[in-house]
Amino acid sequence: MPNVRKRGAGYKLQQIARNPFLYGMAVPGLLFFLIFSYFPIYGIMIAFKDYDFSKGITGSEWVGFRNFNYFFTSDDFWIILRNTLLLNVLFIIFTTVAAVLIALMFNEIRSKYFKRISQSLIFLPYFMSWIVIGMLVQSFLGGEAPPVNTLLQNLGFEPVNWMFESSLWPWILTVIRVWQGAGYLSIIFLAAITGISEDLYEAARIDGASKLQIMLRITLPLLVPTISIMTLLSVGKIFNGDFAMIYAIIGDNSLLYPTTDVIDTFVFRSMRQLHDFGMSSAVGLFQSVMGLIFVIIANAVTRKMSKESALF
Amino acid sequence: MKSKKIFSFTLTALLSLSMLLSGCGGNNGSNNTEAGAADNAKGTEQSNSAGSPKETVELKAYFPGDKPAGFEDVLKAVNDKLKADNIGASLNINFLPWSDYGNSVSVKMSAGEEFDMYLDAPWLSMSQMIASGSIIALDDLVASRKELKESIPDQMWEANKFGGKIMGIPLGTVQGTLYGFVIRKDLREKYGMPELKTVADVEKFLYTVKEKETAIKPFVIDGRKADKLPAMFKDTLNTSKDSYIETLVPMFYYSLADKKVVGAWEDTSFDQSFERATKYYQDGILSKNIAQEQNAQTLFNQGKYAATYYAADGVEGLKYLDALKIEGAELEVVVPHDDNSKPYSNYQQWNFLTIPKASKHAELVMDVANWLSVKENHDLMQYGVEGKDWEPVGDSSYKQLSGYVFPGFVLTWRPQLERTPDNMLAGDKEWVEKAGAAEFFTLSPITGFSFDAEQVKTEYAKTTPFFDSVFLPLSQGVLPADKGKAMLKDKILGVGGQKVIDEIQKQIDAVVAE
Repeated sequence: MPNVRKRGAGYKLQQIARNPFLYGMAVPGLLFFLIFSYFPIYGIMIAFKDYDFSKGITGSEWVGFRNFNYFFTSDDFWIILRNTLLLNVLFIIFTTVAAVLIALMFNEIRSKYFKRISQSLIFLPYFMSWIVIGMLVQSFLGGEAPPVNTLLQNLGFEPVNWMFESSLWPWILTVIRVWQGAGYLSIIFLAAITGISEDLYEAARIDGASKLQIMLRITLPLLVPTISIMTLLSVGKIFNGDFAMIYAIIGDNSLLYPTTDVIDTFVFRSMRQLHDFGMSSAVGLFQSVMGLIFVIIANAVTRKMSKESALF
Repeated sequence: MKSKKIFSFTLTALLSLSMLLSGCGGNNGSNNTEAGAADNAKGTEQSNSAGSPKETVELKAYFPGDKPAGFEDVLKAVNDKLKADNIGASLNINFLPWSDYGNSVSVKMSAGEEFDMYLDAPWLSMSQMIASGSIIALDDLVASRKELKESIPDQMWEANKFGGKIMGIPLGTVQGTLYGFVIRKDLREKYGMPELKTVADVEKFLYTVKEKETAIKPFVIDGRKADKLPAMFKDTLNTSKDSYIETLVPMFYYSLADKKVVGAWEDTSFDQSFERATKYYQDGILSKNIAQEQNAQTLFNQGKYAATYYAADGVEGLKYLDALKIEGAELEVVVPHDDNSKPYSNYQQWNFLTIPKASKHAELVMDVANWLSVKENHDLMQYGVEGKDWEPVGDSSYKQLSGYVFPGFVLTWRPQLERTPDNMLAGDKEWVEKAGAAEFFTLSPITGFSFDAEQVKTEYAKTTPFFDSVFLPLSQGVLPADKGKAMLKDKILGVGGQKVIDEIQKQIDAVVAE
């Protein structure tokens, strides 16, 4: 292996000059992030300003941390924060577990056609808009006589008043989330599994390992880096409530707010009358900064445990 | 070589982007005004020398929404007629998607794009546009245009000024809100009930349906619209007998007796409605699913309910015509009202045609607005080509022949010229016409007040979520009246709501003092 440490900037430029097309391929991506992710960072200023669009971003008056005030001093701040974190943690854990199980299962299926068809089917909910899913949920659980209750009664259970029981909703939302997202995630895991060397499996089979043993001793451990990277990526958004999802399903049903109101829906309701850019940006900034801190912490923890599973 | 090219491309891209953004910085309007003034002078001169054909100036307009079906043909007909009438203008109307209409217009404006008219509104960017001097006052321009002035009631002109000036042509068809109910007439007759006149009559009808019908439920309303229930379910509906009136700041009301601003929990005229809502909810008159209900219109039209919400705004009543397709179904509009009293109204409208300062053709825009206030021209733009898109039914109705539907609220709505669709329910037509008559209402003492939350932004942002989490459930009957009112009071005052009340009070006092 050549000496890595001594390569300086000159070497890098040389590399770029030598493979212009290879590096050129990165340009659209770099441009994309530059224009849509790095350039707008300039807008963070709005969170600290009394923004008036006729004066422009730079022309508006500085107000320090005033825009953050309303959110941090709201009565329901802790409830909303708890809901946001709790829902995201539930989503991350259950979606990942379900996706890994699905991927392991698919890996065992030998019939090509069955595999393809079932893969497409399990992938399908990912393409459904939350509005449509919200309507589906409403038609199953809502109305005066929800169809799900009829089913429950036929099975001999008591009917449930779904739209009143806020304690059930973190679980209902988790089920919906898993149904919607697990199929998509499983494809990524399946791709990682495909990358595992066939030699390992062959050796295991020769040694007389059972299917379950192969799954637990080879596939799963080799899948861990991918799982942890996917999880780290979702941890970055742990402070962002999925507005599209929650608002499409819960809507304005205040009876369910105690467990389903997340930062994004709360801010939406506060700003519906006020349209204040400064205040909304302040909350957005808070979410991003907390997300960044969480990713760094989670990454450090992962690094401690297994170096190659970490993101950076 | 290659990397150099890429670098220069990146640089160009970035530079053009930053130029685009820095355009937002400011718009130097002073020279525009001068040019506009010169042009205005020319315009007046031209209109004096009627007869000789004028040079046609194209006026550019931005409106929200989708382009109506068949719009090109109608616009061509409008422009032909403008030419024939020698107005000296033609229209170039651009429709922008609703989702980013507000943003695109303000970006166009601050980037200095020249266009001549657009729709603005208090719920859009009107106050900011006025504050930054981006739109022009129209008082003088309106005064000299007879048809325009007369097609809009004086009360409506007067009540829709901003800082004492006309900043846009108010576009609206009704002068105040009249609430009521759409009910199934066939069911009322089935149970031998006489025509419903009061809220108590409606209550009786709802309970009769509850008791006697198995497949049809009493009353449906969308969860979000349920904030209208407190106003609807009281005996003083559509009268001037309440001692509190709306401030249009949700959850806050104005007491006529002691001129004080109070929260909804103190508005005693709501006591009856809140108690009724609680009772209705428990008795199953209101759906148990009310908080989540979003399909009231469909459910009513499918014949699953006996009554629903109605407002005399020319739109709400038309939503329920599909219910007539149910065999044997007949509909009736019930608007409880005491003929001896005139409901309060502030005559406030929600949409305005405004002229940006950058426009060089303000006089011409107003000439066109005036031209559109002539019945024949108004009908052409709003209903399309006569005989092809619509045909008149009497003086105040029309029958639609094509799919052309112009969003009148962006340009053409004139209370005195509006026609109602010929398939409108008889009662609906009657009440929409009443709601369009300025004399039907009493001028609200706080007319002219519109809340500017700037001073109490933090507190206001904290109180608004309680509209959804407490006020709506209270209005829906989900939260029992006593508990709900106490909770609303606690919550709102707990986050500094008194500051919001004081600020509303201060602003109303200033308006009343004028």
